[in-house]
Formats: sequence, structure tokens, C-alpha cells
Amino acid sequence: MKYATRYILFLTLLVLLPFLAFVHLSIGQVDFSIEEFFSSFLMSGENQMKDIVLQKIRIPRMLMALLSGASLSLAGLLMQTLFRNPLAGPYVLGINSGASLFVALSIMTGIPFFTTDLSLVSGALIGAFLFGMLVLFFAKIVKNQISLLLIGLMLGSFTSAIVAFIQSVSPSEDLKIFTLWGLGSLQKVNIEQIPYIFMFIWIGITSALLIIKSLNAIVLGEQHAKLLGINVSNTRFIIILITAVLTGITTAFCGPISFVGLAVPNLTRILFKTQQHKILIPGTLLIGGIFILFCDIIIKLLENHFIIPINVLTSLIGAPMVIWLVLKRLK
Amino acid sequence: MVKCILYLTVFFVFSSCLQNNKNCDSCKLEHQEHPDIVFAQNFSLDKTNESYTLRILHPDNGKIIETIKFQPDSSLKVISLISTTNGMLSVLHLQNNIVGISGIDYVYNHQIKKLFEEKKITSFGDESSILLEKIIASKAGLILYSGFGDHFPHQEKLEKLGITIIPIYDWRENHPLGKLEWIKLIGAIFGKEKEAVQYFNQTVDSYYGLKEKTKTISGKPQTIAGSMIGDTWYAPGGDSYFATLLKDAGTDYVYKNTKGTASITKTIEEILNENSKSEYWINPGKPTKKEILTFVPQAKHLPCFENGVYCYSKNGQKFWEEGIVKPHLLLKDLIEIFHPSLITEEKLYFYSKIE
Repeated sequence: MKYATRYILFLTLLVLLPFLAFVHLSIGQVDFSIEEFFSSFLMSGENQMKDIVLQKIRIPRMLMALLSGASLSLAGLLMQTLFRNPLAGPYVLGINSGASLFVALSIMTGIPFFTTDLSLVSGALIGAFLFGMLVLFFAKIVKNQISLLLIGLMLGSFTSAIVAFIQSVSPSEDLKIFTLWGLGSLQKVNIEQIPYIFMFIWIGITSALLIIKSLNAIVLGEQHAKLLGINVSNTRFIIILITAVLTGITTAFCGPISFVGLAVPNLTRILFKTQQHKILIPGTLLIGGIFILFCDIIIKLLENHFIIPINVLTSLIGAPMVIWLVLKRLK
Repeated sequence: MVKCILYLTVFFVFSSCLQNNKNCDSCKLEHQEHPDIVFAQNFSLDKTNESYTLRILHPDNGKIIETIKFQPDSSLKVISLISTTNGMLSVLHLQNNIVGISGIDYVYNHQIKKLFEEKKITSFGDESSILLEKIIASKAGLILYSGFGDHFPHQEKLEKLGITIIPIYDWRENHPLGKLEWIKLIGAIFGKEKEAVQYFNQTVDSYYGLKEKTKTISGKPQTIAGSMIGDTWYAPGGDSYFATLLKDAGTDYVYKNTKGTASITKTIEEILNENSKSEYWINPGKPTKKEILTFVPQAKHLPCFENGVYCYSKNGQKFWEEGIVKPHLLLKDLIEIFHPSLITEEKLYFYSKIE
């Protein structure tokens, strides 16, 4: 792809992102005039309730859409690079399963440790990070990626079985809360929590940008990477650590949002026609943010009739989109 | 002459029923045929000589979905899988007839708990995963269940074995006294119809006595009820029993004009926008503000969150088990919350303020 085309593509994404963010902010059940919107945005509105709706409800939701889309997409890109498999995603390592297990324990069991001091967020966060550490431990022992992939999948199956057992003996109300957590939500985040989430995601993004050279080498295969002087073992460790942070923080605050991490990196590769991570990383971040924003705009538009969980819509939109793009590329 | 007196009696009974139906806004006309059932809409009970004919009516369309004929039996053993029937059986002192419950965690009554500890009552778990052989071994002749599913598991086999299975649709009634009225069915089954009717009538009197007190109030505070599950706020529908309770307690329930007994759904934006003047929030579903904020972080923006949140959750089982048989105490609690000057001397029975 020509440099100019890429430049135009980036420019388009950079314009589209704030535009969609503005559209996202302006949709809802509470009507704002343009003056009210801007005065509430600056927290100087006369209507205190409208200020709260914009500042405390809409802005955190919009920012969480951007952050979750960017972080899950980047995590997916890193996994696809590590396993050199376009079907890999942020959840293949079982990090999501760890979060699910701890959330299931906190909602559906009477174990005091989980029910007293831990909220859903902290439960998911601990679960995600514990499983992230477990995967890192295996990454140190296991020599090749395929074995690690299998271990990740097995961890997922193992925890799914425990979660299924907990579900089978739980009261319906608890089951409903857990099921709804599993459908994902961008609305559980406070504006006060956003800086902390942003900080973790920023660390993940910066770390990924620092290993661009290693990522480009790994795409060529382990042997090639070693010949190019890359410490594959260390790179693998760093990739898994970044993925654990990005996936863990997003799953903890939003629940699992599937498909984004799988679809967006593939979509980015198709659009930019490159394997260069200096292009793919910013491209994935932008498209990831735009994708979730777009999905959540549709959810907000339909809210008066029915409420679609974000996890459902990302799959409903993402799956046909990728099929279409793959078919188009095959032609 | 005898016939004339009979017709007149029937006429007056009908008239009183219809008068009561005016209080119970949406009681259906078909209950004119069954004068003993005044508020409940989802069953009818006819007595001929010593036997009864029970008709379970579909909560959505009123059609008969099950007809069961039975004779009262005071020694009948029962598996009671719902909290509300445990409450009814307890009021009629029928705890010794219970041989099975869904789980001890769902029980409030001390006598049932004691019998469970003595292993005279066993736990059967959720009705969807109930064990057929365990039911047979319990020698139960009756199973009372919620009717959530179309049919009870193994229903055909169990009926062939002579076990009667009755779905209890009290949870679909739109009046608290309609929910309570199912006690008449429980009384009839165990030969305690008189006691059941007497208890029902006394409770109706207490309920209306309390409701009468709210006629003197000058203002009705705006109130919200329900809570968020996932991204959706579920609030009682305008025709639900809880909306009726709120209305009878002299409050202005913010969603009183919505249709249906089922919960209505709202987004958090709608809730914040429509409840800026709500002074009370009833049944947030969690016993502490910390837990409420865990599930509904935006709740802190509701003005009533500061000082007007009340919930039963500190003793949830007491509410689910006794709330149905003591609707007058539910009403008393709500009146005490909204209009403390009307009821001064007593503590709240079901509710507590969330600090």
C-alpha cells in the first residue's frame, strides 16, 4: 500500500474517532439542547441532573468504549503475532476464564472472602491477574507457542467446568447477575476510575510500542527471529504480560467483550495491507476504539426498545464483517 | 322460600365481591362465579359436598390450564418448593405435614428449620433438577411449586403414582391480598378451610384499616422501587402487587401508570431523569449502600440515595416467606416509612433503613 493511502486512512480514522465520540455523547434518553450540552460538558449547566447524566453517565461510558476497544484489539494483535495465527485472540490464554471464575465465586458462592470485601471488579481483576501469572509461569517452562496455546485453552476449559458447576447449584437471581456480567457492560465504570484504567492501558500500549522490532521479527517465525538476534523467550514473556494487563483490566471493568480482539487486528491488516507493527499497533488502537464506539452507538439508539448487551452486538456486527472482508480479499 | 333466601344470599355475596373488586382494580369478572375467591385471579375453588374442584388459570389469559379434584386430607405430606407456600403452611400450623423443601437457606420459619435439623424435612433442591426417586421415597402426596416452567419435571409419572402437583401462581397476582388468598387453597387441601378463611378475613380487615389511615394525608411523596441488573433497571409494573402496596401506603410511585404486573425496564439515564424528585427508594435488593454501589455505581446520583433507601434484604427470607401472609404488616411498614406520623409506636417489621 502506498504511503499516501495509509496517510489518508489514518487521517480518516483520526477524524472518525472524535466524530463518533461526539455522536455517542449526544445520544440518550435525556434531551440536551446544544447550549445545555456544552454547559453540562463544562459542568456549568443550570440543570444539575443533566450535568450528572453527561458527566457521570455518558462520558465514562464513551471513554470506556474507546479504552476497551483499543486495549482488547491490541491484546488480540499481540496474541495473533505471538502465535502467528489470525484466529488467536486476547482470551486464548484463559485470562478471561480466570476473571469469570473469580466473578462466579464472588456472586454465586457463600465463601466469605469473595462476598464481603471484594466487588465484582476486584474479583475479576484478581482472577485475571492470577491466571495471567499462571500463564506466564507456563510460558517460562514450555518451549513452543502451540503448547502454550493448548495450555491456555485447557485452563479455559477447566475453569469453565468449575463455573458451570457453580452455576448449576446457584439461585436464579445470582445466576442472572453472573449471566449479565458475562454479556459485558460499558456502564459500570465511574469517571473516577477512568484515569486508573487509562494508566494501565497506556502502560500496555507503550510497552507494545517498545517491542515493535521484536514483534516484526516474531511474525517471521521463531527461528528467523533468533537469527535476527531477538530474545524470543523474553519477548514472549513481555507479550503475555502486556496481554494479561490489557485483557485483565478491561474484563474486570466491562466483563468479557468477545470478538473485538479477534476481528479488529484482522480488519486492520486487511485495511492497511501490512505486517509492520508500527502501522498495525496505532491502526488497531484506532479501529478498536471506533468499532466499540460504533457498536455502543447502535445499542444506545435501540435502548428505548430493548437493551442489547455489548458482547452480543460486537459479535453480531463483527462476525459478518470479517467474513465479508475475507471473501473480498480472496477475490 | 329456601331458594329465594339462597338467591338473595348469593346476590349479597356477589355484591360484596364486586364491591371488593372495586378496591382490587383488576380482579377479573369470572370470579363472580366463585364468590369465595375475591382478590386472587389465577385460581378458582369450588366445593361440592366434601370435595373440591381447583382450577388453575393461566396468569396471562385467564384460561383454565389445570383442573384438579381433591378431598381434604389433614395427614397429607407435602413437598413445598417455594417460600410463599412455606409461609402459608406455617400460618396454618401445618409445618409437620412438610416433608420436603427446596433448600434450608430459603426458609425463615423456625419450626421448619427445627424439623429440617431433626431430618424430618429434606432438601430437594431446585425443581428443574429434582430427583424422582427421592420424591417417591419421601411418601409425599402433594408437591407445591412456582409454575415457572410449563410442567413439573416427571409430572406424568408422579401423577400416575398418585402425587398431586399444583403450580402456585401467587407471584403473578396483582394485589397483595390476591397473593394471600392462595392460603384458602392450602387450607382446603389440608382440611383447614375455616382457619384459612378466618385468617384471610382478619388480614383483609387489618389491611383496609391501615389503608384508611392514609386518607388523612396531605401529600404523597414520590417513590421509586427496584434496582439494576446488568445495564437494565427493573421496576415493578404499574399493575403489580407492589405498585398496589405503594399506592395503598399513600405514596406516588413514579411508574404507577405503566401497564402490566411484570417488571418494567429502564435505562439509568431514564431513572436519573425521572427520579430527581423521588424521596424514597424501596427494595434496592442489597442490604448496604456499599453493595448497592457495587452493582449500581450511578445510584449515588439519585437524590433519595442519601437518606431515603429502605430494603428488606437484611432478612430476605422473612420478607419472601412472611410477606405474602402478612401483607398488612408490609403495608404498615410502608406507611411508617412514608408517613411516620400515622404509625408511631411500632418498629418496622420487614424493612430497615439503609444507612
